[in-house]
Amino acid sequence: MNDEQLKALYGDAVREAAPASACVPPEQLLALVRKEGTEESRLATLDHVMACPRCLPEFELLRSIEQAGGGADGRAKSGRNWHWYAPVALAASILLAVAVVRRTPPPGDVARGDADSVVLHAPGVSVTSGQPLSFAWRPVPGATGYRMEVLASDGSVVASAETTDTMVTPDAARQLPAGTYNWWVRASLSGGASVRSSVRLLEIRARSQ
Amino acid sequence: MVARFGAMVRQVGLRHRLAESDLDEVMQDVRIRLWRSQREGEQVRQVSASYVYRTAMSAAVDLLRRRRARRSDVTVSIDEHVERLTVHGRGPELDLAHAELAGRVAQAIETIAPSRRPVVRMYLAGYPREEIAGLLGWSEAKTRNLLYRGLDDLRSRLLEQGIGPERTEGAA
Repeated sequence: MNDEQLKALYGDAVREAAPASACVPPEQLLALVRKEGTEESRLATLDHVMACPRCLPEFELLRSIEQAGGGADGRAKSGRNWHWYAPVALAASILLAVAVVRRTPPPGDVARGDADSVVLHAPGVSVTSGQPLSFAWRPVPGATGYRMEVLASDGSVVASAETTDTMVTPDAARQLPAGTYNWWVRASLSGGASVRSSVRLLEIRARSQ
Repeated sequence: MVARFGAMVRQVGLRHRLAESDLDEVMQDVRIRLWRSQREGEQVRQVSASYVYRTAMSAAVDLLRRRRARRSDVTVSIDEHVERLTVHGRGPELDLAHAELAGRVAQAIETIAPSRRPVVRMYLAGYPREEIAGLLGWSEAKTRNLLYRGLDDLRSRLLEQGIGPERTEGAA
């Protein structure tokens, strides 16, 4: 029996297995991806994870975060080394992005980010509540889809939409109460990369009586 | 910032079973936590890459905890289990034969030594040797050695049950 046949049979066995009655706690998954604890305990955790259709995607979530934190190239590194190898570019982008969020763009200004980022078109900075609100942006070459989010002042998402088009009119946006919001768009590119727009101010005024 | 980190995580997770919806939920939580911490007066310069990373990991662990708590309230119906067993469309007899063979492979894996078993599982799940070595902090030579010994063990167990190449060709 060759490796490929074994892999196919094993894949079916895992998919069709009934979920284990007792999954390993999240802390154990975390210890596994961070290489903490004894090798024996990590092997036991890994043995369960690889056979458990519930724990496997959870393990992958933690492992992906750990690896992304370990460097932009995605190579596995010790969790403890992360602080030393954290990419300067990521730190710089964080400070830049925070600064952009905190600085309100002037009315009518088109928000721009990196050279490949998404350029926002509409709506303008100020709109009236209770009306259909359409969001539009310039197409990004190679984009496979877009996600638009409207954020309240506390950062929570109050309206969002995913589309392959460059314009959306979400119902939730129409029902937003008067107030100050921000919105932005992320374009997904083939291969898993993405680019984003800057954050743009959106003031919703109460309709005059 | 969160989007950029999320894209990095997504890129790493593309190779395996990272659930996009899980990642979106985590990144949304990270965004909210960062906004809250800024509102509470934390200095912008204190928001470092390691802070985003720690926040993301904390949000992910919280997500898993919430999910475990919900899971304890959910039961799987018999219909759902039956549906899972009949999605291959090979016909009832072949499905049964294949499921039986898959079950025996799974049982044979259980008999492999604990030091080799997880390595064999990872390999059969599609992880390359380099990733297995990286996760366990092993050298390439150690990983290769334990993997091949484990696969030999597995084939021996299957052969003892009369499962060899000729049986597989008929069932696969």
